[in-house]
Formats: sequence, structure tokens, C-alpha cells
Amino acid sequence: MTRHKHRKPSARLLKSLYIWHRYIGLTAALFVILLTVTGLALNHTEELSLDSTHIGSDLLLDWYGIDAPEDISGYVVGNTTISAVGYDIYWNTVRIPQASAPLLGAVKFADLVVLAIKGQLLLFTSDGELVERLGGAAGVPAGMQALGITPAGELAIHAAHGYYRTDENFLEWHETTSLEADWSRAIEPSPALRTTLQQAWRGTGLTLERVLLDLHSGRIFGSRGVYLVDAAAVLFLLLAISGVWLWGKRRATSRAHRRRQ
Amino acid sequence: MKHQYIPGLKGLLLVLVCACSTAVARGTYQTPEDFLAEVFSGSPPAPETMWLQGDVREQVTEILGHRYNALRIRYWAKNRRTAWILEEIGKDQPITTGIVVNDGKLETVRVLIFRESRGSEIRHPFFTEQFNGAELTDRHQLDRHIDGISGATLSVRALKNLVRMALYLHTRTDYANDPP
Repeated sequence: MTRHKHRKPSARLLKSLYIWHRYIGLTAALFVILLTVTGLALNHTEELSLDSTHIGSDLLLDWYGIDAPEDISGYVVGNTTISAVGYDIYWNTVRIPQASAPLLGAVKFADLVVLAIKGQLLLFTSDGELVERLGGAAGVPAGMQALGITPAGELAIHAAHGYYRTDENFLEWHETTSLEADWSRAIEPSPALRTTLQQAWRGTGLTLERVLLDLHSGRIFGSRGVYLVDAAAVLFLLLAISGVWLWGKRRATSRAHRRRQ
Repeated sequence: MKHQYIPGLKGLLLVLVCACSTAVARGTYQTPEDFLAEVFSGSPPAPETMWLQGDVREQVTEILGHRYNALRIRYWAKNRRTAWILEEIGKDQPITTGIVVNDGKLETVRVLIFRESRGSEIRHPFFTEQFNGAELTDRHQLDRHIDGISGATLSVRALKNLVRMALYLHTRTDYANDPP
């Protein structure tokens, strides 16, 4: 009788633990699947090109609050429109990968399309192929503010410390105190181009790697998501402890049964 | 006083040094203007240009494994010495380097601007000094083995290719054949 009284609470505890173990396991299963899939993918970021795959889903882009800048300006150079969306610069609707700085002007000069960005001149063929990137080492004046063409057909630059002109070789820069030139002027892009540029800009704002990292850490749901993943980690811990404890208890019980037989 | 040995301290210090090094990895270490002023003792010559076309373009493409990201390159030269400011992408971002070739041999290579998040260890002299005196073989390879840096494989490859490219471009200038 005494023995029965001792075993009863223990059996109740064991049964209760089984039930808890089962529910914790079921709850944790969702997190195990999520963390395993995202973890495996992140372990192979380069092979799966996760860092170069961009998310196009408006839902996700809105969730992350990625909105294209409203302030878009452009310069018309022949048949091409050079536009600046934030610090990204577009040749018609294609982003120029070599340029990420404020756009200061664009002109057609000596069969080239010349772009002035902060600290640099970029020279392109009329097909959009980069010919050369010129910086301070090539004599490009510091503090460029505007780009234009002089009546004599030279390239003109209005910089912080004066005006400069150069010829098609871009080798010598002549400084003057004033310079008459047809300065390139920014225009407002057409509504259709503006929409296309904004979509293109948003499309490069979020990589698949970022989404998977945020899913893995829970950050995709903000700070609460991080706590949720923390809670899942605690569940895994409880699952491991209860699993080992139940296994040990069962083993001890079966041994005792065998001894009695 | 005898110092007590603390197990794992060296490892911890190494991790801290690496962490600090990564934290300041990106940046401009020297502007191209300052590099040119230094290598030409304060008065760099006027720049000259080289078009990458025909066999020059083909050879550069073979060296890099892809087309160089410009059709024209600017260089600075005096006597048998040429200086080049070249860029190559390590993983995602261009690495700007300054390279000086003297009489067909690599005199100096320096990482000027590093924009990648990893691999900036290539800027240290322990790595760049391995190139000093390097020449191109007939097959446009370096005449010596360059020890890599684990974790910076792509940056190391980019720098090796830029050195090969500068050595090759030097041979295509008039200055390669200047009398000593």
C-alpha cells in the first residue's frame, strides 16, 4: 500500500511530462522546419546566389518599408535619358553599376556621353559602354557643381574654386574665373519613366539573403519576432531535457520490470 | 615577476584583432592623387592614355578572365617607370589599386580603396611585398608563387590579376623600351 502511494504521483508526473513533451514537440516542429530550411540555404549563400537574387514582391518590399525616392531628376543626352534615383544612376532604365553618387550633370561631348558625379567624370560611348572613369588623379577639379559645353566646343566644369575647361583628351584642365557655357540642366522625367525607375530601384533594394537571415533570426517580424525565435530556442531546450529524462525513466522502468521477471 | 600563462589568451587576442580589422576593413587608405605624388616624389608627370582594343583587349580579358570595366586606361610614366590606377571586383565591389612597374618588374602594389566587407587583409605589406620584383612569364603569369590569405581568396585573386595586367600593359607602352 505504501509502495502504491509512492508510485502514483510519479506515474502522474511521467504521464504529464509525456503530454507536455508531445505538445512542446508539436509547437517546436514549425520552428524546426523554418530554421532548418533557412539555415541550410544560408549555409550555401554563394552557391545559391542568395546575395545577388533580389526580391520583386511588392508585399515584402512594402513590409520592409522600401520606398523609391520621390525626388528623381534626369538629363537628356541625345536619345538617352540619364536619371538619378537617390545615389543610383540609370542609363534610360538600366542602372549604371559603376556610379553611386549624386549626379551633377550629363552632356554629349566628342562622341562620348559625359556624366559628372560627385568627385568623378564618367565617359561612356553612345551605346552606354564605360570608356573611362576620371577622378582627382586625372585632374578633374574638386567640388564639381555643373557640367556644360563652351561655345568653342570644349567641356566646361563649374567647380567649387572656379571654372575649368578641357578638350576631348581630358588631359589638360584650364582654370578661368568665368566661363560662358551651355550648362546641362536637370529635367523632370516623364510619369512613365518615373514609375519604371522607381520599380527598378525598389527591385534592387532587398536580397533573398536578407529575407532568409531575417526569417532565421525572427527579425522579419521586428523585435517581437526575435523574442519568438528565442522562445522557440527555449522550447528546443525543454524538448531535449524532457526527451532525455523520459528516455532515462523508461529505461529504468523496463530494467526494473526485467529484474522482477 | 613571472607572468602567469592564461590558456586561450592568444586565441582570444587574435579573434579580437581580426574583429577590429574587419570593423575597419572598408575605406580609402590612400587617395590615387596621394599615391601618384608619393611614387613620383611629389611631381607626377602628365597622364597618358592607352585604349584597350585589339590584341591588348584580348590579352587583358585573358588575364582577368573577363573584359576590363573600361575601354581606356590612364597611366603616368617617367623613364622606364609606369604607374597605374586599376580596379577589379573582388566579390561584389571594385578594389582600387595603385601599381608601379619599373623596368618590367613590379616595384610597388598598394590597395588604395577597399569597398568589400571581407578580404581587406590584402592591403597589408606582409601580403603586397610578395609581389615586389615580380615579372611576367611568356605565358603572362607571375614568375613566382604568391601565398594566399584564407578568407580573402577572391581579393587575393583580384590583386594578382591586376598585377599581371599592369605588368602586361607596361610592356605595351613606349616606356618599356626606354634606354636605362
